[in-house]
Amino acid sequence: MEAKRITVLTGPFGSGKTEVAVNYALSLKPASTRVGLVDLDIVNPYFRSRELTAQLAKEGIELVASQPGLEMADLPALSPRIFSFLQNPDFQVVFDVGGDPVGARILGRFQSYFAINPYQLWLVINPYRPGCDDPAHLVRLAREVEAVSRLRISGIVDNSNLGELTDRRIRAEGAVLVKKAAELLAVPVVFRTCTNPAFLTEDERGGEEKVLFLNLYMLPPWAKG
Amino acid sequence: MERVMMKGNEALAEGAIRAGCRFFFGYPITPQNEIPEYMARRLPEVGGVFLQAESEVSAINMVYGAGGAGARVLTSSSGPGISLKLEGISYIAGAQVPCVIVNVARGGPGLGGLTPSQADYFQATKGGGHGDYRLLVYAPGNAQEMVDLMGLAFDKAEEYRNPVMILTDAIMGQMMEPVVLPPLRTVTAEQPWATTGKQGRKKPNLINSLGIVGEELERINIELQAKYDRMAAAEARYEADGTAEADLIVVAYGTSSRVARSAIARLRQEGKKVGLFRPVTLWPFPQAVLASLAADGKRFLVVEMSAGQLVEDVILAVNDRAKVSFFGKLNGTVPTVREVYDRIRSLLPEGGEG
Repeated sequence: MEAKRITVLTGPFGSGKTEVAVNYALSLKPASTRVGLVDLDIVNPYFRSRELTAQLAKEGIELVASQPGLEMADLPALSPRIFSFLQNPDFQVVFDVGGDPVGARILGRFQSYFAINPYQLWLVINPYRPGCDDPAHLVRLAREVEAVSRLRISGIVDNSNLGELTDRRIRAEGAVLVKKAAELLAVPVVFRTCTNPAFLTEDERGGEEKVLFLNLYMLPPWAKG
Repeated sequence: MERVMMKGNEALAEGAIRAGCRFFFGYPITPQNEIPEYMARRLPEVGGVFLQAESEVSAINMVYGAGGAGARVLTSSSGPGISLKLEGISYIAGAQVPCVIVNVARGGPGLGGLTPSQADYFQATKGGGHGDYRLLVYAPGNAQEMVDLMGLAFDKAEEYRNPVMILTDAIMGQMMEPVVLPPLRTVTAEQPWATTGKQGRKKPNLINSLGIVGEELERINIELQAKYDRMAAAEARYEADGTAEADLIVVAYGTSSRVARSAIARLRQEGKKVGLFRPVTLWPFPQAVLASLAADGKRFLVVEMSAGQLVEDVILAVNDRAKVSFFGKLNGTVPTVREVYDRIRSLLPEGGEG
């Protein structure tokens, strides 16, 4: 998987950015000396990667969120440690940004770093979210994200899923809509997510399309041990 | 898309739209902000009105006004905001005005925290505000029920001319699940009692909770109590899963019922006979069913994210016919599947195979 030093995951509210960000950061680890994951969601404190700080540390992923102890404080406050990730060229940095243009606005704060570092801004899309089955709506949202973040979207992550009801058909039908949005935006689908090898398409099996297998971390309490 | 992935809060909001709700008045508070956010975008699309009031007190009085004119109206908040709304809720109950109120509960008391809680059970079911009034209270168990019970809430509010509350919590509001949405319903705001002008009638319709003249207040209260009796007789809802053959029945609602269900599934794999009783209405409480299960010699474990509130209704229903144990987590903590599993095991008879 291509990996510029900075990867920014943005997208509509509730499209699965955090799950993708955690799994993507883990996928970078074998090839990278240091991987930093930035939980930049200032919209909502629930189901956040900050819940996984200890678990990720064991896997060698350094996570920066809010001040320890303030994880549930609902404060739009950023840690200064984000800058140490951005300034240190040894780091592969993954930004997990809050949903919608309102969540992406915060990226403008790091404009000077994006100007001098290679970055990729990916839009995570789940067409099974309300309104997200309309490619025209996704294009409008993408343009708004670009306007507030002052960055250019360079790819789409296809996160088509219906939770526990996901199957081959759900992924296949979702892919059609995501591809349509990618075409309208003139950017590639950089990878598709998958939770079960049985759901893969022929192209994915043959290595023609890239897949990121997800281990689900953002589970509700009743789905945990 | 036939099915969509929705957060609980979004499911409540879209469920209200589909049920014909065209007015929302509210004031922001975490963890329910997705509801006003959604309504602010969605209501104008269907010709409705969204208004962020200057406070919860204003919002609930706007609800009083819209409901009094016969409109389907929604407000939502979390514990601290519901506390502020209680005066208005008592007025609305007294004046017999239909409306739906959502509480996406967080930890209290006081300003508390943002973590999920079930400690607003007393507030929802035992009054909260002043006077002898009752709310019909629904506790959804998943995102689909958020949609479905919201539709039912509007119908029942109108049928009984009574405020209906949907009590849920931060985890249920924030988690995401697939839902099937019902078609958009068209409802008429024309109610014979509503204050929409005299329209040829001799007497104007009045929306009022004042009963200061003579024995007026007693008459109002007798009428209210008769209505609550009808609701208690007809509106109790519950889910009973494997309760008939169970040795032990877990009683839980909302998030804790989900955790209990996972724990029970594990125990059943080990051959244990454990059931789940999930009240869907917290008021009226499904008393009669629990009473008859108690008479059958069942043992009960109540699991709650509170210091023990639902457990009081279970004890009242069981009325000394069975033993009731309690497992509660205090504000901000959700019991783990393992904790509930261990607690149930410790209550089962030693080596008690199936």
